[in-house]
Amino acid sequence: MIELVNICKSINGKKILDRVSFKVDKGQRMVILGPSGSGKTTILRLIAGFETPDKGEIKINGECVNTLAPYKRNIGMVFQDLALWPHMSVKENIGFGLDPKRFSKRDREKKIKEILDSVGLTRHTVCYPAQLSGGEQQRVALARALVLEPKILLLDEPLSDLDLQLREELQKVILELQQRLKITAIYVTHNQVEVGLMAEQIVVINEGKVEQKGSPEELYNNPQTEFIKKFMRIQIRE
Amino acid sequence: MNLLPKSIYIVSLIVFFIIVLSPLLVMFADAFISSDNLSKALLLDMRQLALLKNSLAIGGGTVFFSLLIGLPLAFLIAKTDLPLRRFFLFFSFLPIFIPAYITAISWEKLLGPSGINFPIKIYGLGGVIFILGLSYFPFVTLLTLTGLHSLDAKLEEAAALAYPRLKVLKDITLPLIFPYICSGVIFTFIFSVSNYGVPDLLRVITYPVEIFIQFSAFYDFSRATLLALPLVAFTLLLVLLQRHFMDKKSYITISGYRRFLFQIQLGRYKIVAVTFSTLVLLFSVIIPLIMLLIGAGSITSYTAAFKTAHRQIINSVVLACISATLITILSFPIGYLIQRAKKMTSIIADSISVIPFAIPPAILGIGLIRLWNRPVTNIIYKTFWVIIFAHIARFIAFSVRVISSNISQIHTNMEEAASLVCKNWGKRLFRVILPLTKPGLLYGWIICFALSIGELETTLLVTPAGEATLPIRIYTLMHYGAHKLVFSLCVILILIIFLPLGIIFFASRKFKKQGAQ
Repeated sequence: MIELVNICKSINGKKILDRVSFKVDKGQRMVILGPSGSGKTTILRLIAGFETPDKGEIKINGECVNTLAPYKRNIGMVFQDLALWPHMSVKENIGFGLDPKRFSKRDREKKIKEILDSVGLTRHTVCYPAQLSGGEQQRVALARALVLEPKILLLDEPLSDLDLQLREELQKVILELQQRLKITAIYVTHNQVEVGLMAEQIVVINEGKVEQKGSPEELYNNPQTEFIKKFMRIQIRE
Repeated sequence: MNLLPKSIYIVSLIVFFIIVLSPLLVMFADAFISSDNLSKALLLDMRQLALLKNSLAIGGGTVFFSLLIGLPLAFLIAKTDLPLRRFFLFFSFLPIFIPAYITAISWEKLLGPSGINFPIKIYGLGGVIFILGLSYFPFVTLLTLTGLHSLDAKLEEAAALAYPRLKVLKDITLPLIFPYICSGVIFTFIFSVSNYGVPDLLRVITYPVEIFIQFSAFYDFSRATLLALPLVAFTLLLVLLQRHFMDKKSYITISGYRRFLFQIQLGRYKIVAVTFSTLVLLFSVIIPLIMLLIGAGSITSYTAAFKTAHRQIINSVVLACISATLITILSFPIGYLIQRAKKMTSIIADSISVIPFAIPPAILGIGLIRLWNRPVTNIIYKTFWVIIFAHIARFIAFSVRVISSNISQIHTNMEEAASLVCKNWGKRLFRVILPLTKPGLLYGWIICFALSIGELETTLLVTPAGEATLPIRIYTLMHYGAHKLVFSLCVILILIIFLPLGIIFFASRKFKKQGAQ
């Protein structure tokens, strides 16, 4: 479904990604794992279409989308700092993407209500983001990303600022929605704790290169580089 | 807030009150005592109405023209793949530092009686709006760019997943940077309605021109002051409105503009965008400079200009250096109070620091005369100090904004960490805070130097005998018709102004590199 083929990207003369290749199957959950500054977010930005690769191809459903505008890619994204529009209410934030030309007012209301129910946020629809708690803001961001029923969901460390209990709770919400809606999800994190629940496949990125890819079991049981060993906190006694 | 001893904040505020606010208070108190004049001034007779109409037409027209060129230019620089963006960014700020009367002199050479045979004449309202728009559109550009810079690109990217980029610009970007655009509009309006030099040169009677006539021809202080009442009330209202819009937002980006995210590919429109940006640059900077150079003629004009005005040139440079230094020193504690004091103190410091923006330069000049023209204060009134006071009162608001923006970008943790290990406030100030605010202090100094050296309107009223500055010399010579000399002196003045701006350009690159490291 999503395929990155030899992607290279430099920003301000600094090489951020170097020949990155991997594939995510339809409906699969892929976690991109790596330390801060390794290029994880750039990969998501390339898939979303906010950046164009210097070299290589990004394919969605077999079609190269390197120059396709973001809104034509049918992608939803939850940003690390959520990026909720401060001048819009919860309802307006979620409904913004529902084009009045395509959706009647009634359909829009219905869709907003449904998605808010799905993320467990039924109150506060007229509140502004600043009036919500961290967890509620997270739910709004997730609802906004899903309201257009995207085929792909990109999550850029969306839970990094939350406490453990809230994080687990929201992970379950994301997981349930992803499975129910059969969305292909790419989840970026630097935190191995989040991997367990979210990952069907893992790609480990270090300094812009793919260190290893495979299932969580493969990576834990058969780390191929010293970096993976250290990063996955596997203590192998020689 | 515990960085400096309280006494320093108190002294700074007292000095600010004496130099900046007291001339205005004394002047208005004087004017209001004469109740007869007050009722006359407040009565909108035909002449008053004509003045009001002219001033509002100039303000409104300049704002419209500035938005027309300043807003697209900012968006092209920040939000598209316009070639030579850094070049256009630097040159889009220059017109604000070229005194508007010099732009008027150069355009008058091109479109005036001795210029080319052009069907549209430079004299009149249209000409004034054209010149002031070319001089003040950078307010709109600069503030829009600052708004775009402070905007989190993810807010736009989140919308870009659903809509094309133009719709995102309209529905997300524009509403979020609206306060910045409003602020640019208000600055442009205030500076254009307060301008004296351009309408005077292009023969349009506005409030500042009328105030000047009342003062210089009839020496009628109270009438001149009261005439300005509607203007001051309006501009003060706008300045307070602007403070409300901007709250604690930065007016300027100190660290240099980083790579703007969320860019639009211009594609086949690139040529249109480059042509537009080049035309703006051509009309606002290049044509005026070329006309000045043509007007000055050969090198002998410059030699003659130096011979005639070397004293005024030296005077201007020295006075601008002293003014900029004192303004920077005084601005730091006030800027610090705005960012770090408790809410009420911060709001008060912030509100009084923006008042100078609202005071027309001619009114300030009259206020300075009313306050300092007394036997006991002749040491100020009859010496260069009165010019320095004029510069401080006119330009301190710029410096406070720049320094306060810089302080807002320094995390309080840094000060707290310093206060954990060092009790000595001087050491904390000089070793931790001042090095961190170095860019703001440097930019503030250079901006105030460039503005002070070109200042005409207030100094024209207050300059004591023998202390004339270069702008006054230019203005006087122009009325005598010594054109070659005028153009040569204008070129010299521009060179003196541009020299520190070149430093800004290179310093911003250095600070950017340091920031990146």
